[in-house]
Amino acid sequence: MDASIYPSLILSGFLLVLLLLGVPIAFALCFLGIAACFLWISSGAIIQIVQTFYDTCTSDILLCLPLFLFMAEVVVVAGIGKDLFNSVKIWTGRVRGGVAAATVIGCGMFAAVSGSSTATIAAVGVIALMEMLRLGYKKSFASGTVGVSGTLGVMIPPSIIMILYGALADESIGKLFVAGVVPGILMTLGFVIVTLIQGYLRPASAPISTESLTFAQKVRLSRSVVPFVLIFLVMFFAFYTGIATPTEVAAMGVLASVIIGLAMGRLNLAKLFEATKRAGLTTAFVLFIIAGAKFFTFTVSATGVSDLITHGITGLGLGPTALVLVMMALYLVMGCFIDPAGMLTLTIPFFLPALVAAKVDLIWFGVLATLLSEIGYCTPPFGFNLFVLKGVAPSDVSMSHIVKGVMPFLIVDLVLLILLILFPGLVLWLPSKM
Amino acid sequence: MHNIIQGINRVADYLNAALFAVITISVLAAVFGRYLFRYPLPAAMELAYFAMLWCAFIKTGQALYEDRHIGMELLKNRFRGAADATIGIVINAVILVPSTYLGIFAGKMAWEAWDFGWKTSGELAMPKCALYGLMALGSYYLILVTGYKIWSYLAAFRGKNHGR
Amino acid sequence: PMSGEAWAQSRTLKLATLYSPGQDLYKTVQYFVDEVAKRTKGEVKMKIFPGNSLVPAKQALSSVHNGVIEAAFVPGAYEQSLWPLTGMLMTFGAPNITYAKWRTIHDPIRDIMNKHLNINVVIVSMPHVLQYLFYAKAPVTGTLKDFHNSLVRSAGGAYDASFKALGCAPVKIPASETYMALQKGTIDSGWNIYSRYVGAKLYEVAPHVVIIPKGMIICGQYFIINKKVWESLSAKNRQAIMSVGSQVVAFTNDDSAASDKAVLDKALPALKIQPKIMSQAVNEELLKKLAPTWGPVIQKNGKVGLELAKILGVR
Ligand code: NA
Ligand code: NA
Repeated sequence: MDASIYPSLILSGFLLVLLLLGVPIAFALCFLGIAACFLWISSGAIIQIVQTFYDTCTSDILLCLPLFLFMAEVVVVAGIGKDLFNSVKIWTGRVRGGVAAATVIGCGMFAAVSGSSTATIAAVGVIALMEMLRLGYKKSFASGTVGVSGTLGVMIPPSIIMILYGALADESIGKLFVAGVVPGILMTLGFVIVTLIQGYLRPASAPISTESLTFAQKVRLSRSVVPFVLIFLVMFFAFYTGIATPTEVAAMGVLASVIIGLAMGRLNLAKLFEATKRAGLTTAFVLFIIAGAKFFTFTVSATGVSDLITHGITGLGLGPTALVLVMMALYLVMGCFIDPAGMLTLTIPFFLPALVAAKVDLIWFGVLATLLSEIGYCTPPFGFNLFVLKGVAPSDVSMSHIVKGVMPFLIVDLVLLILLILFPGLVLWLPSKM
Repeated sequence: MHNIIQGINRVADYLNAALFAVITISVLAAVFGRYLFRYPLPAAMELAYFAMLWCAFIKTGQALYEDRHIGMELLKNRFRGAADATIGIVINAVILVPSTYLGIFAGKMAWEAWDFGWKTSGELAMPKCALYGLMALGSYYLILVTGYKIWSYLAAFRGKNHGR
Repeated sequence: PMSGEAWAQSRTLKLATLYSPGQDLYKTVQYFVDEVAKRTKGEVKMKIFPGNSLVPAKQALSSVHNGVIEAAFVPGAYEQSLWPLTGMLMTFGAPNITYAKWRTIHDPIRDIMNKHLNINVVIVSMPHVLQYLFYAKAPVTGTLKDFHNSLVRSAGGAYDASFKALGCAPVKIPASETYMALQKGTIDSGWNIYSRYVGAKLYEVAPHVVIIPKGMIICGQYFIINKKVWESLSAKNRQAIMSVGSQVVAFTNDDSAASDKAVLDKALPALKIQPKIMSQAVNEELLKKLAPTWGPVIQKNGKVGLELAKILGVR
């Protein structure tokens, strides 16, 4: 093995150690980045940490993050989220896992206005997790459902991962979006099935409601869902009529939730202040993790590992299917240690020539890469969604609850991956109709 | 010390609330200006980006103090006494390293940006020293919090209780 | 840790670029690196980090200035206050920035810029002048009316002033959301180089194109090397690299001209896009509208600004 692979292996090993020790992820990543500069790059390169934090925290596409978090906190403090889930319970409460299934579908719908996994979790996840716990769902089931549903945000268009891929691979972003529709729907269905199976197998983790209501009663009680639906419709309308970009849609969401909260008499300055406090804390730690991950990725890249891996893979002389399989396996491993956006930036420029030479369809590959990114968001030790969820969850929800809860859903992702590899038509049929 | 940190955190909360107002209002102004009056406000969007940076660095120390910077927490709460204190010291020592580098280099870059009068490219032309400078301040606060935590753990070693 | 000098002697220089293999300008980067290796007899080698895989283009100038990486091929648009003179090359409407003339005025401009740079960076080459076309969601006429009140995506900085002068309303949205914003009608139009318009598939959402023969051309990309690293190289190698810097201008120039021609003659017809070509009279009117934007840019750079303006043919 070439010696230049060792830095990456050592860094990954130490990342695992620091995380197990309990070092906050953002600082563990920065610490290792600094160590890598001293050992393999140059001490002069450490100053890059400032530039990376600066660029991350002023990033135009990340602006939706504080806004979605703020919106979610407003929805929670105004009790709009509680109303929503009470209604959901009325309709699905007789089915075990029904509220979880509804949460998956809710995230899928929200994914149609949000381009990122983190934003989806920030907006819907916060609300859903609180309410599912309130309704008596077990911690791991509730947090697993929410954590994994967030990833629908990047498969169902719009998607910042697909935009990133499209820019790196010079492929049509419009086609990529359309190509994500069928896999996105399949994935939503798969997650719904998992929630129902879990509810069936472990009845204790998903309580059912014993109230029996008539249809008319149900409809009457469901009126309390209107405020949330209004907020959602404002965002949906703003995006699809071109009033706002996906980033700006978040601000429309804040506006709508504040106005509705005030109109219902459920918001005041003190509550808004409380909402900014919580949203601010989450914004700070999430931005620190993203910046830390970028700095870490920079040092990994500077050690020259991308070249090595890609030469290793392209040197094997594989056929198209085997080539793609090897790349997917690599993504599965890399996704455990670096953030999905970094993973694509690090590899796609180097993979492209080999993919083109093997005549691999780049739209299809893009959807596969997006799917692997989704998995990467959820796999420990560095699983972005796991951390965000841990950050917004009540303190008695532990990381092991979340990791345990996510695992059954990852099986769906892997099954879907196999399906998409076996039947590329699932991806390519819809764009071919464009 | 505890009281000083509490005080800083309270100020941070008010600044943070103001920044959230700035972010929300700027973005909405840009959206409505563009859509209703065909008068886009690029400067408002730029202001929102910078407010996000300030927000992150104003709140990061508080997040650290309240243990809200997320980690795996597999070992946490499994130990008592000296073992717990040792792990705490190691963790905070690790945190201290990037915080210190961030503080030193952000300070250096703030000074350089001030010296040369560098501004952000774009409509707003914000002095860069105001951005790097606040990053430096936020990092110094991280150092303060980390130092305080290490000091508390050391006190725990000696059998004292500092309210932890 | 090593000193800058030992580093430069013992290592291959890391060169960051936003371009990936297969894109037009990647050829320029590859050509530059190959020629430098050849002309310095292998003493100065560079390793290309494509597709923003080392540092994002936005950070590349700072990273070279700070000595984090040794070299980069960077756009001038992102951090203009660090090298304000680049603003002069990013303002539309300079008569001497054309594919044909650029190679004759490149070297003196580069020398002036290097003499007045206040950062730890040496400009080796400014190979890429780029011709912009205007694209819109709605049908165009080829007159100045097309720009009137058009919500146009702008990268900010020097671009904003030019676009405003033409009557456009520049909008600040993330580059990655441009496609969606056009699709949904959040914005009306954009400016880009011919190959990007085709490469980024913008025609899918904005199929109406105006070609402007004169004036919408600027110089936007720079090969830079960290000053300490530069000073650690032998005088002979520095000279060799500078002459590669001049040589790469001609290479890129021919390449850009050919690529633009291919877009016009092949790609657009294949997409069934019939661009409106602006008439000479309208084009002159456009240049008149752009003229006032030069005043503030020149003034900002004082005497050097006047010196550069002369070479660029701006009155
Ligand atoms: Na989405
Ligand atoms: Na992961």
